[in-house]
Amino acid sequence: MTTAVGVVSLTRLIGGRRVVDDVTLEVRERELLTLVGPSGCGKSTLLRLIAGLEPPSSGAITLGGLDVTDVAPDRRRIGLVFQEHALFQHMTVGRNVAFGLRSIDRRRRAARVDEMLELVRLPGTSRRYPYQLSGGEQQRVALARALAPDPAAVLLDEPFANLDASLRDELRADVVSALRGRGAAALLVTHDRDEALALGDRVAVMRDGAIVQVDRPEVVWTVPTDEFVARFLGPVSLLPTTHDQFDIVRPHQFELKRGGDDRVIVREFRGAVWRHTIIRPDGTQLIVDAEPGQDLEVGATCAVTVRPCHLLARLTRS
Amino acid sequence: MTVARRPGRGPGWALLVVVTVVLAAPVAAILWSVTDPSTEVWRELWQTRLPGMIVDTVTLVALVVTGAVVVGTGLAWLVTAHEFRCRRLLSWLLMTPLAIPGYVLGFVWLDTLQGPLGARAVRSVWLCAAVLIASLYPYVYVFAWSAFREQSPRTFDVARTLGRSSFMAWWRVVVPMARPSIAAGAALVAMEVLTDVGTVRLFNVSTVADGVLRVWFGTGDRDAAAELAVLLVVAAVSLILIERALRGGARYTQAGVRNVQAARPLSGLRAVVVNVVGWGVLSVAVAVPVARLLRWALQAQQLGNTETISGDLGFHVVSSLKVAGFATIACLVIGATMVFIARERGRWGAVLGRVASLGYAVPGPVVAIGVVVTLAAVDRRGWWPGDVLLVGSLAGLVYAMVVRFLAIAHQGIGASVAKVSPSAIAAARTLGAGRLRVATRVELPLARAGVIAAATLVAIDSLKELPVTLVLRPFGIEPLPVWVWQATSESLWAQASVPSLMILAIAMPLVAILLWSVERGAEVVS
Repeated sequence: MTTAVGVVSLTRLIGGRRVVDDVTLEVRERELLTLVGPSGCGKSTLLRLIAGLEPPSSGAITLGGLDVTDVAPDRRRIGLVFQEHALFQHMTVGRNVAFGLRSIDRRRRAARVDEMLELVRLPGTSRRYPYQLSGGEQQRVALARALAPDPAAVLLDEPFANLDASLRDELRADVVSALRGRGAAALLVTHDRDEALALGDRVAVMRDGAIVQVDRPEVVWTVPTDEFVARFLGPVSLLPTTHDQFDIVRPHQFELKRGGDDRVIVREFRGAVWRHTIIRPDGTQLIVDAEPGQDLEVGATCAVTVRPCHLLARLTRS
Repeated sequence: MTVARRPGRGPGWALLVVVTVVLAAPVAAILWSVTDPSTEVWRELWQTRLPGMIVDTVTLVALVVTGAVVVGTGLAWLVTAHEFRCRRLLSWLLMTPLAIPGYVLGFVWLDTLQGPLGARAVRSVWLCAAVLIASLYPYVYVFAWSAFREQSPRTFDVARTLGRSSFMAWWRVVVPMARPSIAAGAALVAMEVLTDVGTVRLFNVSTVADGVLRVWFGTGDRDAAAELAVLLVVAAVSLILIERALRGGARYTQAGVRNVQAARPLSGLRAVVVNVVGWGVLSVAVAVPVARLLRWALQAQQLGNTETISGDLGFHVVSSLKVAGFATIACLVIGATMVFIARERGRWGAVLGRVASLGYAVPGPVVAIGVVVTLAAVDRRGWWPGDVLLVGSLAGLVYAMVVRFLAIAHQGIGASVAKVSPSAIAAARTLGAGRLRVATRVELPLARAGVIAAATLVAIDSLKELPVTLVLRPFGIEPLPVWVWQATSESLWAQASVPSLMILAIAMPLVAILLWSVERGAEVVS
């Protein structure tokens, strides 16, 4: 597979702080890469560097194999979608989508606008103004606008953060299918771990300006490279094996049986499973999921074991 | 929190109606004069000076508005979108011309350029326009500045990635989205040009406003002056309609956080150019005039030639402070009262508020004459005991100032009170505070920046106001603008320098307070 977006040893210093610290990363052709990390970890800055909106302090950026490190943002062929959709409020939806289509003649431009609005499931809205649309619809227009000029890559900065939960799921599915429909390479920045895992072909985890791990979602989930990644991506228990090593176990990898030395201290209903917090005699706490019917009440004594044949990550304590 | 209530007939409602009637009366009186036009006067005017007046007025308004929009918008862009040394200082200083009346700037430049250009060539509509641009561009600047600052930088960024250069992204996206604000600033500039009598007189530009005052003082024919004033009202109303049309139907509020435009660092030649432009404008509009005024004042001091028109310097300063102070307090109290009463009366409350604010859309000479006509009518009834007359009293002058400037206070307070969080009000109400207590203890303090901004604007405007003061000044009160006017009409520049400096000395701190409150999120409104 070829590289759509390449980032090599990219560093961005702001006031002496390494906001982006020696990042090397690639987004492959037709791939959706999600970039996830706590707020302030530098993921939005990385996005702005790739778009050319800020100059890097050192390092290089390639798009489609060409070095664009010193190319102005208007010559990079990047599509950009923000959390606050940043539509041009003084233009109609149609003119917003057509904004990046200057080199095409008028008739084909109109056809492209219609095609794009069709793609984001908003046909026939080109004469409306942005304020006449709902938040979710505005975000669809922003995506159509970014995709219209056929960019080398699309960058999305927390595109779903401002929306209601119910709307968000539907929009997510549509955005992903629109991106796939155009075969566009995309980098999606989010602080929501579920979103990162659910949408990404691969997931990159960022912390303090550096990329900690990049891999398929199921790999970063089950075999995280360190404790930070393990904890950031979801509930996890650390089982000490030797004095400086421990296994990383996700709640579904445990088996829960009544009777034993462990004790249930909290129980929450999570829909498909009951989630238990369990305390061991040595004081360590475990998070354990059990299907309805297998669950135990608070105060019950129990024995927790790791299911056989589950792949475990074994880490060395730092 | 607007609670829809039955438009009741409580005391609040009655008060609102009375205030509105009192404040709208002068404008109504002027409009009433058209119902009985004296055709002779009109025929004579039409055959002699009127066509020239209209041409001069239209030319001047067009020139000044164009210039102020270009200068104001351009400077606002330079200081909001770029980063260079002294940027913050420059962005503040660029608002200081607000403190300098056009007629002061006018006579300084008139004298400065008289040497090189000759006494005749200097008195042209072009130079008059240049001077007015230098003194009025801050209206556009301050509106554009806050509009640019409130725009999300994301919009600009997206336009960049869609293939537009930095300038084109600004021109196609940032400016159009700030258009309503720029239009509002431009409308204010146009109003100021329509109302100006001091600057145009210096440059022998005979506008309609100038004509109104000439007829008023020259022939003493009050009816003719009032009828001519109707022309100004027509011009002002059409301006407002144009501005409304420019705003269009689109709402430009932006989703997302209020975000300061990401500033682009400038260096080398570009930084030099930006600095030359910014400081150049400042020296034309502020530095050179102030320096000249100071030199004149020192010379006059050395020659022992500092006589005033009546009494001493302190007397004039106190006169000005009295007028501006009373006008400001009255505008604040009436404005706040109207805001709080009107919003509980729904549509009709809003309509009355607009009617009471009519005076702001009407040029100064018109308000002045309308107030004289109204007060004279009241005086004739002899409702007051003794020989107290309203025409020529301090109360009459303050009344005229309120008619003219109430809109600033009313809109400023209204806009900032509207931003107070409904939950803060709800919390106060559930804690047992009545409406009055909520208004005075919660809403006004929370809206403090906006209230202060409105107060300083009213104070600055009433301090500088020339036509109203000229027509209505009472005996025993000689505000500073009148002194400037009398000295400059006899070309005694050195004598005019002392009162001009006093106006600056009072207005500059007010401008500083205004800037402070705008920084603190006060709404600039039109």
